[in-house]
Amino acid sequence: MRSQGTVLSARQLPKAKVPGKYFGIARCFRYDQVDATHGADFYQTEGIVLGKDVNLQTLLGILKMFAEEIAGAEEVKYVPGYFPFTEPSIEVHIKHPVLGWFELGGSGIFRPEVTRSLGIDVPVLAWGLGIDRMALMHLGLNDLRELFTPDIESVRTRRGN
Amino acid sequence: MPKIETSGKLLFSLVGAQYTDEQLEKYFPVAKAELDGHDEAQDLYKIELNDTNRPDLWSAAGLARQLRQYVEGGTPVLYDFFSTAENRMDDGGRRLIVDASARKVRPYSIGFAATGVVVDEDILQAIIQSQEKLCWNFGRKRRSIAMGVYRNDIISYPVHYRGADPDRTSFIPLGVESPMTLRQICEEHPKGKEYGYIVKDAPVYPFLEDDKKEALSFPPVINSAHIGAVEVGQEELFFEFSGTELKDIVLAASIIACDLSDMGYTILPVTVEYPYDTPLGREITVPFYFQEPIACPLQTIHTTLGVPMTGDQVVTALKKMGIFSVAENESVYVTVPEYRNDFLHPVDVAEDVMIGYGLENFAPQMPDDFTVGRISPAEELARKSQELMIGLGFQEMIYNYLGSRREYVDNMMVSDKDVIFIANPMSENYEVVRPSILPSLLESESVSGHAVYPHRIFEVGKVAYKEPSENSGVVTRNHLGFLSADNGVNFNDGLAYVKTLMYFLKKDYTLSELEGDARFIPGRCARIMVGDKQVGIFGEIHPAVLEAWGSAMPAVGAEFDLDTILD
Repeated sequence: MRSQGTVLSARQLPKAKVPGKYFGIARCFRYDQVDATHGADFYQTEGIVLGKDVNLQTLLGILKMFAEEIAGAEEVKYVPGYFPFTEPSIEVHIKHPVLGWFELGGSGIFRPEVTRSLGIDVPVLAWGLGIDRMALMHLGLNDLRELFTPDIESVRTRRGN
Repeated sequence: MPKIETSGKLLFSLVGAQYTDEQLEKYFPVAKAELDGHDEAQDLYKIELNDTNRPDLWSAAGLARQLRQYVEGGTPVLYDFFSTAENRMDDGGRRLIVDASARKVRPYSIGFAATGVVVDEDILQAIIQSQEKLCWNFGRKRRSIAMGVYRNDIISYPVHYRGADPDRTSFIPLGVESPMTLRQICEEHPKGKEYGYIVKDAPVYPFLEDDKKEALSFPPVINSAHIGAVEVGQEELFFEFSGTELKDIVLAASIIACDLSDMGYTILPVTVEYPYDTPLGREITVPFYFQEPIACPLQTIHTTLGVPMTGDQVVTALKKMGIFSVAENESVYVTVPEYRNDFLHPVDVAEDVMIGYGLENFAPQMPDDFTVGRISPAEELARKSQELMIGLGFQEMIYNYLGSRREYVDNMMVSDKDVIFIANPMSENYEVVRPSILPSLLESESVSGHAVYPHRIFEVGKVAYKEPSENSGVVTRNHLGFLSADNGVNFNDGLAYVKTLMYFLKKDYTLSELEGDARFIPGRCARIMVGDKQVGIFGEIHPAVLEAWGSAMPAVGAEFDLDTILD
């Protein structure tokens, strides 16, 4: 039971092509108090992009795509983050009309110590973003728990944005 | 992640400016900090620090240093009390002598003194908090770093650090009235019970005393009640750090010394003598600067950040981070600050350049490389199954994978033999990883009596259960589960769906008898076989199971192992 999906990227890296783009969707588990933006289990999308010319600006481009195109956020901010395996590291936050700012997820460029041992000599962008939180925005919901509701009527009548 | 608390008075006096909460939230990213709370009545700020490699930020002084430099600008602070391998500061005769016996239990102890500011409540809290954060988070719960604070005015130098006989060495520790031996402290004192395990099994225990044999402490466990009792109103302090990695404790001492200096203290160096070789020699005057300069080619900054930057731009960006550097020959040479040791590679420099330059100055771009994408075979089968189910008039659901024993075991009348239980769940509602999709579907039945029938629902998702043949002892499988509930649904309805699915999935199958499965009505259920492998089961849900879920409507349910179908 993983708390985040980086393991998917770590497993894909040794088999990855250059240039290459890979993603996966992973159910993650956390010891979190369940509330409107936290679940005991939830989805993350995990991805990597390998290429000679990828860099911080391309990473921001991908984060922007998730935040604006997929989540449909109008206000997005990028802040420096910290993850042991990426440098630099960036967190992306979006503003929900009701819930306010929340973190969509973390990202960065894999540390050379991580990639070089796998024989990869190009930069590798990596991210892990909460799909459910994107869905909250996209579907106009105010509570993550509504996504996972067992109530058949509620699922039947949900219209989305 | 470390969380600290500080009074606004201390924080803003250290910054030299007053900020609103909005300003703090705007500036905090420079320190990877988040404002967790602000109690205006108590003037108390709660702050979370996200960089576990930057213990220098886990204090009001360290955070203020970073904010001041970034927001207010100016020249980074020069700390003039650091010794180096080449240049030793005057220790004023203060020495700490390490005995060879210390090596048997906890090889390193270092210290320095500070004077010039009367300790008030804010400063005392700040020191205690720094001690806790450094020793707990960075020092692995005191195992690799422990820190003690003492009254320097009553210490007779030199101070001695040795491995002492646990049964024949005693002193009065903080919190009690009479002397205890080191072993008694380990076994009976509250701090001994908490931290004694670190040294308990060693032949000798660490012991710190002054030249008049007055005890300072039993590191990493507890201070003496005399020299080791620091209170509000005192002004002369001695700081001692013990541990297993010399550079880690030297860094911890540097962080505390810089914080104290920022709070107005004069730092008084202490020379430590070792009878054995250490990574920094046999005589070290603390605070000691050991970090090596790091070079970062401008090209690395360009390829990492995506923007070509001149040497001057890089030097300016690093200055905003409080870092001295010079640009020469297409590289930038960085003098690592005394309180940091997180520059392992040029990319670490690039990140500080990024923060100092401002993340808003980098423009999001899409990658140019063209690549061909395809979905995995497992996902292809999952999507095909989803489309078929929707085509059959079913509604797709998503469920949580954690639930209760009642839902996954008791209501289903199944054994818990192969079910995965979480040893330390947050609540019993999230205690079990689901072994099957059927209970999730039945949960819908239990809460959806108000929804017009028929109910036809499905989910493609994962299940997990114990599997001794796997390395981890458990296995995760992709499953498809569906349920149809309505007056008069029966085995034949289920069979019709199963047949349709298997037809379009192009799988030849046979049905065989399913016995002893209490979830279904005996004789009205079946195993779905491809060759000699079972790929699924289906049947009429047993009324006892329906009743356990509080549903009276007849239902047929099926569950397929998609990974087996794919094989």
